[in-house]
Amino acid sequence: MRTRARNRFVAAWGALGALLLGLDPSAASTEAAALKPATAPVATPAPPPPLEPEALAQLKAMSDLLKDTARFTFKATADREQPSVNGPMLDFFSVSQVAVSRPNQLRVETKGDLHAASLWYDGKMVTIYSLKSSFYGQTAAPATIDETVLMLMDRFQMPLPAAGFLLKDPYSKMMEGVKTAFDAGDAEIDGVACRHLAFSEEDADWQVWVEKGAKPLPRRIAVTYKKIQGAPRVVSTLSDWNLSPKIAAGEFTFSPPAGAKKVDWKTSEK
Amino acid sequence: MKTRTLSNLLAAALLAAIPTPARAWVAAGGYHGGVVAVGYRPPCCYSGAAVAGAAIGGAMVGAAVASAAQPAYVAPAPVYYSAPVAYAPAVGTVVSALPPTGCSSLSINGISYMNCAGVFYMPFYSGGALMYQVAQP
Repeated sequence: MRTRARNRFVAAWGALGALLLGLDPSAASTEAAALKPATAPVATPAPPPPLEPEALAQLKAMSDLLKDTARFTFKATADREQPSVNGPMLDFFSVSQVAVSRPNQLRVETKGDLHAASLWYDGKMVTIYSLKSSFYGQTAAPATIDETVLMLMDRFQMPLPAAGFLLKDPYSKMMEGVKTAFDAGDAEIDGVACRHLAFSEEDADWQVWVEKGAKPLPRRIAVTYKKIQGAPRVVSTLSDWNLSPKIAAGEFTFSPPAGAKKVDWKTSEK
Repeated sequence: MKTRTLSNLLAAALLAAIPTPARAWVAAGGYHGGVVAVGYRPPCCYSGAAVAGAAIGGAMVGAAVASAAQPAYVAPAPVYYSAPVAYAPAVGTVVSALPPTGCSSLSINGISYMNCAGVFYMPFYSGGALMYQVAQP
């Protein structure tokens, strides 16, 4: 009796459910059919798209801000993990002062333990110089920052974790190879409210923290190299942004200090 | 303007021995596989041959791991390690730092060297860092 009563109850609700869904209520008239509508109308939220529009929009806003800025300076504080041959991961820290003047001038002054070489690019030549030494390397450079940065990373194998932010269109280049993107929520970096955005590629995951509000500046980038043993990470925190800096004339042209000697600057074999 | 493929960029930053094709750009930015062996400091006071062996051993470890059937890879040679002070490293060895004292610069046939207690190091830039290769000028 109890079972029968319950079935009748379910049948009644099934009929109501069918009505609400605009279905033929007669379909729920038998007991067998009555069991189905009680479970069917549960709405499951659609899975988020692999590339969340909101995450892309915020990366784009960051990109557009830098794209429209003719000159800017910032400080990049980087921590690079590198596996050592005897096992443990090692961290190497560096601090860079970066100056960009579009379209063809770049200066990066770096202090650190391993990656301690500074760069000058004046539209004609690009120079590398470790301030601790008396040796510099120099080569003819392409006509734009974009081409020069890509050349330095490619032919000269320079590690430039913040390189994307120097390009004329950071968004289009950074999004190459991206398979998923999502907004990981609110974050705070050095007291600045940010959005935390996460992206993944075939070989690496990366995150960018973009300042909230009218000036969506990149405040941090972190990259994890998934396919390298130990999955080393590079984190670079970007601070001291100045979007209307005064940069001295000649700042981008290298003048060798007294006694400095030019040495070989090795390129990758191709 | 010559455009560079993303595969080229990532390959450049991660060294040549990459088992999977690379398609992404940001990933190429921060990692330079060429100095994967930094921080290796051979134990004190081996002979020069043993030091060279240690360096080669490091490269072989990298190669062995890279060839194993696993998704992770490590960048193989070249091996860089901190300069030993107490003995002479083999010619051709690449180091990321010189002995802290006792070095002077000189130029031979237009090429710059550092002379550290009779060992000649030729400076060069590689992967954004200043390196030194033990040389016989």
